[in-house]
Amino acid sequence: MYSKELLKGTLKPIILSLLQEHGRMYGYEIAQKVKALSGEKILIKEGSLYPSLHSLLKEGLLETESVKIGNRTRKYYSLTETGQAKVPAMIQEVKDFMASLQLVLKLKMT
Amino acid sequence: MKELSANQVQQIQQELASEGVEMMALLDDLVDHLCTSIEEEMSEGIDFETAYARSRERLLSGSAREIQDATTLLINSQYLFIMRKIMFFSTFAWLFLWLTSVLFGMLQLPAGGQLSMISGIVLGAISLPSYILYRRQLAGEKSLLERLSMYAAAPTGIFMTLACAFKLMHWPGANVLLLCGLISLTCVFLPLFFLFYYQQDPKTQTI
Repeated sequence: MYSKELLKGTLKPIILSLLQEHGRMYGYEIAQKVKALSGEKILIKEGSLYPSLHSLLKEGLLETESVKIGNRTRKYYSLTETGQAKVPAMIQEVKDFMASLQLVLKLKMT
Repeated sequence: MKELSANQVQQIQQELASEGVEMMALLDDLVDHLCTSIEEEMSEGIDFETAYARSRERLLSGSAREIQDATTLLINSQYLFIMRKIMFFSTFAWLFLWLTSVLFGMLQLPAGGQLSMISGIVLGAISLPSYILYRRQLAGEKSLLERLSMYAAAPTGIFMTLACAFKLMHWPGANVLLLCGLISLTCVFLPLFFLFYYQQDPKTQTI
């Protein structure tokens, strides 16, 4: 499992990318999907997931739809038009960052 | 998959709320998250209490209140940044204007009195309100000293602003208001403010 510090900057792009691919998802579903896709290496806890989701909501990149599931309310998150437009740039930024990081680490290792 | 009963959902909801989660939107998220995890565990034959304890341990590293605090901090980060800047620059402006007015007074230059009054308005109408708004929006449990310093800032700001406005307009009662403002500032707000920051300083907490 990766440390919380490493995940901090990449959680929002991960969420946005997943929502772009799957349309609408609820919190638990996002966490489980990330866990499965990362081979159980990225475990997102509630303490990291919901602050990021609510921050993205505030930024206007996400919107929610509440659905009654049994005796509780489930909120489905999906991308707004602004969110849709911003996803490619955010993912590109992460890719660039990873490429730079790889370059720096390789240089340091040699 | 087994579905939790209304009582079980209510129990989870009440426990999270009792830990200090006040944001309804967040509470719904946390309850659904825990319920889904518990239902998954229960479908493997585990009883509710064990599944609940396991899910809590696995999903929530700290208290639910900490999640709310982290959410509030992320949501308000831009607002807090602006408030902090306003607080810093207005306090700097107040000190600069006040010291200049003192210097003007010593050198018997004109406009010293007006400068002093403007500095009072900056302190009372901008600096102290921004301090209250900034601290109010900061996440986390507030200590008694922090709350007292916030309560003391309000009357100090009101007295100072009114006193300086009355003085500039030459209305009666300005001196009484100014006296109240200065007493409130020097005897109540500033001691509480410094005590609070002294208490907050990590270096003093190790002694």
